[in-house]
Amino acid sequence: MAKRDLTAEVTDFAQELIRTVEAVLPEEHGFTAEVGPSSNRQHVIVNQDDDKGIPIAIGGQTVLRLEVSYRCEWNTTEEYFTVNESSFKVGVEGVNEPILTFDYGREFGDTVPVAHVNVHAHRDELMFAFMTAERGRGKPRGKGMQRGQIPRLSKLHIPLGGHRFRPSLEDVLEMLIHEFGIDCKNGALEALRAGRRKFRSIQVSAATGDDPEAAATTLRAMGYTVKSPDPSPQPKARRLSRY
Amino acid sequence: MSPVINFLSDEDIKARRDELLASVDMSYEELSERAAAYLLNAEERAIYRRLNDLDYLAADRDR
Repeated sequence: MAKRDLTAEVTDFAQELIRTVEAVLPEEHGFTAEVGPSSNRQHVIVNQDDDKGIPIAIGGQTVLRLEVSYRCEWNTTEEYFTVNESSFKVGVEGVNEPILTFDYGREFGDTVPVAHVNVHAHRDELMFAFMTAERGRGKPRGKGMQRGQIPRLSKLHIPLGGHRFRPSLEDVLEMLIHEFGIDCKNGALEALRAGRRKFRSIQVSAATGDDPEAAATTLRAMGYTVKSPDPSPQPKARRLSRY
Repeated sequence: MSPVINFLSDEDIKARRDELLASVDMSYEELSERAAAYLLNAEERAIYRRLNDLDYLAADRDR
Protein backbone atom coordinates (compact mmCIF):
# COMPACT_ATOMS: atom_id res chain seq x y z
CA MET A 1 0.00 0.00 0.00
CA ALA A 2 1.29 3.49 -0.82
CA LYS A 3 2.65 5.45 2.14
CA ARG A 4 -0.05 7.68 3.51
CA ASP A 5 0.45 11.26 4.51
CA LEU A 6 -1.29 13.30 7.21
CA THR A 7 -1.77 16.44 5.09
CA ALA A 8 -3.24 14.42 2.22
CA GLU A 9 -5.56 12.50 4.54
CA VAL A 10 -6.83 15.65 6.27
CA THR A 11 -7.23 17.50 2.96
CA ASP A 12 -9.22 14.60 1.44
CA PHE A 13 -11.40 14.33 4.54
CA ALA A 14 -12.25 18.05 4.69
CA GLN A 15 -12.64 18.26 0.90
CA GLU A 16 -15.19 15.45 1.04
CA LEU A 17 -17.21 17.44 3.60
CA ILE A 18 -17.11 20.55 1.39
CA ARG A 19 -18.20 18.46 -1.59
CA THR A 20 -21.09 16.92 0.37
CA VAL A 21 -22.42 20.27 1.60
CA GLU A 22 -21.79 21.92 -1.78
CA ALA A 23 -23.84 19.23 -3.53
CA VAL A 24 -26.85 20.01 -1.33
CA LEU A 25 -26.97 23.67 -0.31
CA PRO A 26 -27.28 26.63 -2.71
CA GLU A 27 -24.29 28.51 -1.21
CA GLU A 28 -20.70 27.31 -0.81
CA HIS A 29 -19.48 26.56 2.72
CA GLY A 30 -15.90 25.97 3.72
CA PHE A 31 -14.33 23.69 6.30
CA THR A 32 -11.11 24.26 8.20
CA ALA A 33 -8.87 21.62 9.72
CA GLU A 34 -6.49 22.28 12.57
CA VAL A 35 -3.69 19.87 13.26
CA GLY A 36 -2.18 19.64 16.74
CA PRO A 37 1.49 19.25 17.65
CA SER A 38 3.36 16.25 16.39
CA SER A 39 3.13 13.04 18.44
CA ASN A 40 2.44 9.33 18.07
CA ARG A 41 -1.24 10.11 17.82
CA GLN A 42 -1.56 13.57 16.33
CA HIS A 43 -4.93 15.18 17.00
CA VAL A 44 -6.91 16.91 14.24
CA ILE A 45 -10.17 18.87 14.36
CA VAL A 46 -12.35 19.72 11.39
CA ASN A 47 -15.19 22.25 11.66
CA GLN A 48 -17.37 24.29 9.33
CA ASP A 49 -15.94 27.79 8.76
CA ASP A 50 -19.01 29.68 9.96
CA ASP A 51 -18.77 29.78 13.76
CA LYS A 52 -22.56 29.96 14.12
CA GLY A 53 -23.02 26.85 11.99
CA ILE A 54 -23.87 26.40 8.33
CA PRO A 55 -26.97 28.50 7.54
CA ILE A 56 -29.83 26.41 6.14
CA ALA A 57 -32.64 28.19 4.37
CA ILE A 58 -36.27 27.31 3.89
CA GLY A 59 -37.98 29.38 1.22
CA GLY A 60 -34.89 31.59 0.91
CA GLN A 61 -34.75 32.51 4.59
CA THR A 62 -32.18 31.11 7.03
CA VAL A 63 -34.20 29.09 9.53
CA LEU A 64 -31.76 26.42 10.73
CA ARG A 65 -28.06 26.16 11.52
CA LEU A 66 -26.00 23.00 11.16
CA GLU A 67 -22.81 22.65 13.19
CA VAL A 68 -20.46 19.97 11.92
CA SER A 69 -17.53 18.98 14.06
CA TYR A 70 -15.01 16.14 13.82
CA ARG A 71 -12.23 15.24 16.22
CA CYS A 72 -9.80 12.94 14.54
CA GLU A 73 -6.47 11.29 15.09
CA TRP A 74 -3.50 10.51 12.87
CA ASN A 75 -1.66 7.44 14.06
CA THR A 76 1.90 8.31 13.08
CA THR A 77 3.37 4.83 13.44
CA GLU A 78 0.61 2.85 11.77
CA GLU A 79 -0.31 5.69 9.39
CA TYR A 80 -4.06 5.70 9.60
CA PHE A 81 -6.51 8.53 10.03
CA THR A 82 -9.53 7.89 12.20
CA VAL A 83 -12.53 9.79 13.58
CA ASN A 84 -12.58 9.79 17.40
CA GLU A 85 -15.68 11.96 17.74
CA SER A 86 -18.21 13.54 15.43
CA SER A 87 -21.05 15.89 16.25
CA PHE A 88 -23.78 17.26 13.99
CA LYS A 89 -26.01 19.82 15.72
CA VAL A 90 -29.21 21.11 14.15
CA GLY A 91 -30.49 24.33 15.71
CA VAL A 92 -32.96 27.07 14.96
CA GLU A 93 -31.39 30.38 13.87
CA GLY A 94 -30.94 32.68 16.88
CA VAL A 95 -31.80 30.05 19.50
CA ASN A 96 -29.10 28.96 21.97
CA GLU A 97 -30.14 25.33 22.41
CA PRO A 98 -30.05 22.98 19.42
CA ILE A 99 -33.08 20.86 18.55
CA LEU A 100 -31.16 17.71 17.59
CA THR A 101 -27.60 16.52 18.08
CA PHE A 102 -26.12 13.43 16.41
CA ASP A 103 -23.00 12.39 18.30
CA TYR A 104 -20.38 9.71 17.89
CA GLY A 105 -17.62 9.22 20.42
CA ARG A 106 -15.22 6.32 20.28
CA GLU A 107 -14.35 6.78 23.96
CA PHE A 108 -17.67 7.79 25.49
CA GLY A 109 -18.18 6.21 28.93
CA ASP A 110 -19.89 2.84 29.23
CA THR A 111 -23.30 4.32 30.05
CA VAL A 112 -23.47 6.47 26.91
CA PRO A 113 -23.99 4.78 23.52
CA VAL A 114 -21.00 5.46 21.23
CA ALA A 115 -23.38 6.71 18.51
CA HIS A 116 -26.55 8.45 19.65
CA VAL A 117 -28.99 11.25 19.02
CA ASN A 118 -30.13 13.79 21.64
CA VAL A 119 -33.52 15.39 21.18
CA HIS A 120 -33.69 18.83 22.77
CA ALA A 121 -37.29 19.37 23.76
CA HIS A 122 -39.39 19.29 26.88
CA ARG A 123 -41.98 16.61 27.66
CA ASP A 124 -43.61 16.10 31.03
CA GLU A 125 -43.92 12.30 30.67
CA LEU A 126 -40.22 11.94 30.10
CA MET A 127 -39.39 14.19 33.01
CA PHE A 128 -41.52 11.91 35.18
CA ALA A 129 -39.58 8.89 33.92
CA PHE A 130 -36.30 10.67 34.62
CA MET A 131 -37.42 11.49 38.14
CA THR A 132 -38.25 7.83 38.82
CA ALA A 133 -34.81 6.82 37.47
CA GLU A 134 -33.37 7.63 40.87
CA ARG A 135 -35.32 4.72 42.31
CA GLY A 136 -34.82 2.35 39.40
CA ARG A 137 -32.15 1.19 36.98
CA GLY A 138 -31.21 4.54 35.51
CA LYS A 139 -28.55 5.02 38.14
CA PRO A 140 -26.28 7.50 36.35
CA ARG A 141 -29.26 9.80 35.85
CA GLY A 142 -30.31 9.37 39.47
CA LYS A 143 -26.82 10.31 40.60
CA GLY A 144 -26.88 13.37 38.37
CA MET A 145 -30.12 14.47 39.98
CA GLN A 146 -28.66 13.98 43.44
CA ARG A 147 -25.87 16.37 42.37
CA GLY A 148 -28.56 18.92 41.53
CA GLN A 149 -28.60 18.45 37.74
CA ILE A 150 -31.96 19.26 36.21
CA PRO A 151 -33.28 16.37 34.07
CA ARG A 152 -33.67 17.38 30.42
CA LEU A 153 -34.98 15.46 27.43
CA SER A 154 -31.78 16.55 25.65
CA LYS A 155 -29.80 14.38 28.08
CA LEU A 156 -31.47 11.22 26.77
CA HIS A 157 -28.98 9.36 24.53
CA ILE A 158 -30.80 7.31 21.91
CA PRO A 159 -28.41 4.64 20.53
CA LEU A 160 -27.74 4.58 16.80
CA GLY A 161 -25.86 1.42 15.93
CA GLY A 162 -22.46 1.52 17.59
CA HIS A 163 -19.05 2.26 16.12
CA ARG A 164 -19.62 1.14 12.54
CA PHE A 165 -23.26 1.76 11.70
CA ARG A 166 -23.77 5.31 12.92
CA PRO A 167 -25.43 8.02 10.79
CA SER A 168 -23.24 10.09 8.50
CA LEU A 169 -23.41 13.78 7.58
CA GLU A 170 -25.28 12.65 4.45
CA ASP A 171 -28.03 11.16 6.64
CA VAL A 172 -28.46 14.38 8.60
CA LEU A 173 -28.60 16.52 5.43
CA GLU A 174 -31.13 14.19 3.78
CA MET A 175 -33.26 14.23 6.95
CA LEU A 176 -33.30 18.06 6.77
CA ILE A 177 -34.42 17.87 3.13
CA HIS A 178 -37.26 15.41 3.80
CA GLU A 179 -38.40 16.65 7.22
CA PHE A 180 -37.91 20.40 6.93
CA GLY A 181 -37.99 20.99 3.17
CA ILE A 182 -34.74 22.98 3.24
CA ASP A 183 -33.58 24.75 0.09
CA CYS A 184 -31.22 22.45 -1.80
CA LYS A 185 -29.67 22.02 -5.22
CA ASN A 186 -30.98 19.78 -7.99
CA GLY A 187 -29.18 16.47 -7.72
CA ALA A 188 -28.63 16.84 -3.96
CA LEU A 189 -30.20 13.46 -3.15
CA GLU A 190 -28.09 11.64 -5.76
CA ALA A 191 -24.94 13.26 -4.34
CA LEU A 192 -25.96 12.27 -0.81
CA ARG A 193 -26.62 8.68 -1.90
CA ALA A 194 -23.16 8.51 -3.50
CA GLY A 195 -21.53 9.94 -0.37
CA ARG A 196 -23.43 7.54 1.87
CA ARG A 197 -22.42 4.59 -0.31
CA LYS A 198 -18.78 5.59 0.10
CA PHE A 199 -19.09 6.10 3.89
CA ARG A 200 -20.84 2.77 4.39
CA SER A 201 -18.30 0.90 2.24
CA ILE A 202 -15.53 2.27 4.46
CA GLN A 203 -17.51 1.23 7.56
CA VAL A 204 -18.20 -2.27 6.17
CA SER A 205 -14.50 -2.63 5.50
CA ALA A 206 -13.71 -1.57 9.08
CA ALA A 207 -16.44 -3.87 10.46
CA THR A 208 -14.82 -6.79 8.61
CA GLY A 209 -11.75 -6.21 10.76
CA ASP A 210 -13.91 -6.39 13.89
CA ASP A 211 -14.95 -9.98 13.11
CA PRO A 212 -12.86 -11.37 10.24
CA GLU A 213 -14.12 -14.97 10.60
CA ALA A 214 -17.76 -13.86 10.29
CA ALA A 215 -16.82 -11.91 7.17
CA ALA A 216 -14.87 -14.88 5.79
CA THR A 217 -17.83 -17.23 6.41
CA THR A 218 -20.18 -14.88 4.57
CA LEU A 219 -17.76 -14.52 1.66
CA ARG A 220 -17.35 -18.31 1.41
CA ALA A 221 -21.14 -18.70 1.37
CA MET A 222 -21.17 -16.23 -1.53
CA GLY A 223 -18.69 -18.36 -3.48
CA TYR A 224 -15.43 -16.57 -2.68
CA THR A 225 -12.35 -18.58 -1.80
CA VAL A 226 -11.13 -17.30 1.55
CA LYS A 227 -8.30 -18.94 3.50
CA SER A 228 -8.20 -18.15 7.20
CA PRO A 229 -4.76 -17.44 8.69
CA ASP A 230 -3.47 -19.74 11.43
CA PRO A 231 -4.16 -18.83 14.14
CA SER A 232 -7.37 -17.18 13.08
CA PRO A 233 -7.82 -13.65 14.52
CA GLN A 234 -10.28 -13.34 17.37
CA PRO A 235 -13.31 -11.08 16.97
CA LYS A 236 -12.95 -7.68 18.67
CA ALA A 237 -15.44 -8.44 21.42
CA ARG A 238 -15.46 -4.93 22.86
CA ARG A 239 -16.16 -3.33 19.47
CA LEU A 240 -18.93 -5.80 18.65
CA SER A 241 -20.69 -5.60 22.01
CA ARG A 242 -20.24 -1.87 22.77
CA TYR A 243 -23.46 -0.02 23.63
CA MET B 1 -13.57 25.46 -2.68
CA SER B 2 -10.54 23.97 -0.94
CA PRO B 3 -10.24 23.32 2.80
CA VAL B 4 -7.86 25.37 4.94
CA ILE B 5 -5.41 23.39 7.06
CA ASN B 6 -3.59 25.01 9.97
CA PHE B 7 -0.78 23.31 11.85
CA LEU B 8 -0.57 24.42 15.49
CA SER B 9 2.34 24.09 17.89
CA ASP B 10 1.92 23.88 21.69
CA GLU B 11 2.81 27.59 21.83
CA ASP B 12 0.17 28.46 19.19
CA ILE B 13 -2.45 26.55 21.17
CA LYS B 14 -1.59 28.32 24.39
CA ALA B 15 -1.58 31.75 22.73
CA ARG B 16 -4.95 31.11 21.06
CA ARG B 17 -6.44 29.83 24.28
CA ASP B 18 -5.33 32.95 26.18
CA GLU B 19 -6.63 35.17 23.37
CA LEU B 20 -10.05 33.46 23.35
CA LEU B 21 -10.46 33.65 27.12
CA ALA B 22 -9.46 37.32 27.07
CA SER B 23 -12.17 37.98 24.48
CA VAL B 24 -14.98 36.87 26.83
CA ASP B 25 -15.65 38.29 30.26
CA MET B 26 -15.82 34.82 31.83
CA SER B 27 -13.52 32.10 33.12
CA TYR B 28 -13.49 28.73 31.37
CA GLU B 29 -15.48 27.27 34.31
CA GLU B 30 -18.17 29.94 33.96
CA LEU B 31 -18.34 29.36 30.21
CA SER B 32 -18.64 25.64 30.85
CA GLU B 33 -21.47 26.05 33.37
CA ARG B 34 -23.38 28.41 31.09
CA ALA B 35 -22.83 26.09 28.11
CA ALA B 36 -24.35 23.16 30.05
CA ALA B 37 -27.46 25.27 30.69
CA TYR B 38 -27.59 26.52 27.04
CA LEU B 39 -27.12 30.11 28.21
CA LEU B 40 -24.32 31.03 25.80
CA ASN B 41 -25.11 33.14 22.73
CA ALA B 42 -23.76 32.11 19.32
CA GLU B 43 -20.46 34.01 19.70
CA GLU B 44 -19.80 32.69 23.21
CA ARG B 45 -20.72 29.18 22.09
CA ALA B 46 -18.20 29.42 19.26
CA ILE B 47 -15.49 30.55 21.71
CA TYR B 48 -16.34 27.71 24.09
CA ARG B 49 -16.23 25.19 21.26
CA ARG B 50 -12.87 26.56 20.07
CA LEU B 51 -11.43 26.31 23.59
CA ASN B 52 -12.52 22.68 23.80
CA ASP B 53 -11.08 22.01 20.35
CA LEU B 54 -7.76 23.49 21.44
CA ASP B 55 -7.80 21.28 24.54
CA TYR B 56 -8.41 18.28 22.29
CA LEU B 57 -5.49 19.26 20.05
CA ALA B 58 -3.21 19.64 23.07
CA ALA B 59 -4.46 16.54 24.93
CA ASP B 60 -2.10 13.71 25.84
CA ARG B 61 -1.55 12.00 22.54
CA ASP B 62 1.26 9.57 23.33
CA ARG B 63 -0.87 6.82 24.83
